[in-house]
Amino acid sequence: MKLINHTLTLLSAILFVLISLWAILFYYQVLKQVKKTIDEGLADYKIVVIDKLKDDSLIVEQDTFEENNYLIKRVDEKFALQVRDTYRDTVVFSNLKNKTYQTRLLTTAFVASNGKYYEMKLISHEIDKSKLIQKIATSLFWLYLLLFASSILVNNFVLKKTWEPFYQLLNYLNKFRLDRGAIPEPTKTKIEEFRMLNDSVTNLVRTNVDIFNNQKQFIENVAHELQTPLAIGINKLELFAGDEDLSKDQIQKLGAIIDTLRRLSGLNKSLLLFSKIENRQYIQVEQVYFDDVFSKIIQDFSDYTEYQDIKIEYQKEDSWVFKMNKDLAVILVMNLVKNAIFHNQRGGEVLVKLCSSSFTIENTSKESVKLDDKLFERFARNSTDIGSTGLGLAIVRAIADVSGLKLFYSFNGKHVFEVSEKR
Amino acid sequence: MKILVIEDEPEMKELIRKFLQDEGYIVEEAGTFSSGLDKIVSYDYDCILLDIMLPDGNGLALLQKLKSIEKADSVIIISAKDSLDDKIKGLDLGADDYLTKPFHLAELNARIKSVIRRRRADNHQMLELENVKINIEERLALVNDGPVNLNRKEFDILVFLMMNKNRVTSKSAIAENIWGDYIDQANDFDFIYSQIKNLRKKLRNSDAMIDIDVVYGMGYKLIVK
Repeated sequence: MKLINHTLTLLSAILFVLISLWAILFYYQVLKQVKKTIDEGLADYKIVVIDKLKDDSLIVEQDTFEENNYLIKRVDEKFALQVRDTYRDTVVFSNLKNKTYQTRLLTTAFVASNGKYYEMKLISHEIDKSKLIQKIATSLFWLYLLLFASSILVNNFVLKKTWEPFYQLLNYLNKFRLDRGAIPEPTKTKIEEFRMLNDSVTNLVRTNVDIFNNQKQFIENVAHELQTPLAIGINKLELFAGDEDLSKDQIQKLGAIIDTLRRLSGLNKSLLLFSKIENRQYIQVEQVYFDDVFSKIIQDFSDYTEYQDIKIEYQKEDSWVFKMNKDLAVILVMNLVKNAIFHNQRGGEVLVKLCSSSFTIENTSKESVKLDDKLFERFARNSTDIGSTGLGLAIVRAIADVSGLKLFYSFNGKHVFEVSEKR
Repeated sequence: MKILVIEDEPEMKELIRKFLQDEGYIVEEAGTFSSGLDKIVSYDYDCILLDIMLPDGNGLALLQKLKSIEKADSVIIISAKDSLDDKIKGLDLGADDYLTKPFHLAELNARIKSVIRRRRADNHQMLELENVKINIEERLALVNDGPVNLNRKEFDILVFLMMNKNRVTSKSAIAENIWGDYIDQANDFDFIYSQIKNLRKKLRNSDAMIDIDVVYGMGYKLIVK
């Protein structure tokens, strides 16, 4: 539920309860006022009637309210003297209207000009409570509607405006990616809570981006710093290997050490390449002709594939020209081709198919099952492969990510890697 | 032949010095930007090996300085940074080559030799060893002045090995030199062997006085018979 709707629901519920309570209160207030007014009218009427009844002949004792709105009954003096004017509700049956109705009744007593004492009852006109309730309910219903409508307006205009910094922040957080690492520049707001929220989020993001960058920087620095000692180690061993006094066995061992160091160095280079790709240091883009890239790389590997008796078939169904960094395109293709060749078997096959906006590389392999999705993760390698760094495909994915390419792996007896334009 | 090594890492410097002295060069060293600058200004060198990350300055600035005083010394940049930008900048500033650490000494050797050879503008100078002569520009290999028919890879291997004669040259150094960096992930470099085998056969058949020894577990060594 949206914040605006939430407040709206809450507000209307509260309004409803409040207005209902208020309606009851209002009804009783109005009723009280109405009765008071009627009673005053009755008091006036009493005076008029008593005045009229100075003429004794007009005094007629009656049992029911007929055309007159009053009843007169003779009472003894003692009774009459203790009568106080009392007002109360009563129900009267009207022959005229042939129904009972609610009314106010004034009971009083007076002494006529002939010295006799009379009790008199006067009634007012009809009080229609149900009509009153109906009227009040109707007007309050309209009031409620009006208030509801205004709260929608308030929500839409005032609240939306008030919460704008919040939505902006939310929008930013939605789009935020640690590796892109842009610090938000929150809009200035006068509301303290939002200012605090903005500050907190900015601080949080900044801290995280800093940590992330530091770690990235750390990997890069470590890789960098390792290059020189590695170079020294490899070169010293190479010099040492030239020593005439060494036995064949010793030279062979030296060779193995050098190979290990070279692998370490290769790993290092891959990590550096990673950092560079992820730091987007390959900015320049140009039209890359994948046909050219494939032709060259397949040619470059031809000696190796011939030696390993691996058959590379290149099917060019169409040419694909894509705008990206040329170096990255070469690394992408090379790593995929390399992957297809080095994880192949003697006498195996590699099939490269180039289409108008994609290419696929299929290869046979010793591993004849579908590999899991961790394939493209760093160091997700087959532990039996000492020679590989486990970074080749991770680099491929990193390149695809920064270049707007889609990478897809499937297995159909052969391992199939597909690279296509992201739409 | 005089070579100046400007490198701040003492061990690396020492290593290169020793290697180059073994190769018969006169080697001078500088460990900082300022001492490097002193030497560059004061003397002429056939080749300068320049590390671009120096403690007291950027090697590229040193290169700029060198060119601004119109010295014709050849420069090979050696850098731990495999940065395309630096490479382009360095070559634009007039460096002759760019080598990324770690490198094989054999590769460094070959690059120095090529640079010096190019600098002499002596394109017809032959790489010579006993009765074998090689004209690199024309891609000609001669034994006893008679041509030997080598394919592209065999020729490149022969040149590389002749530049590193009498040294054990590792298979990976050969692979990288001939096939390029990307082959370095290959689990074994045995595929080189078929090329070497053919090369040896051709050298023997033409009575060359040189041969290629297999140093098991390491690589190959070109020797004089």
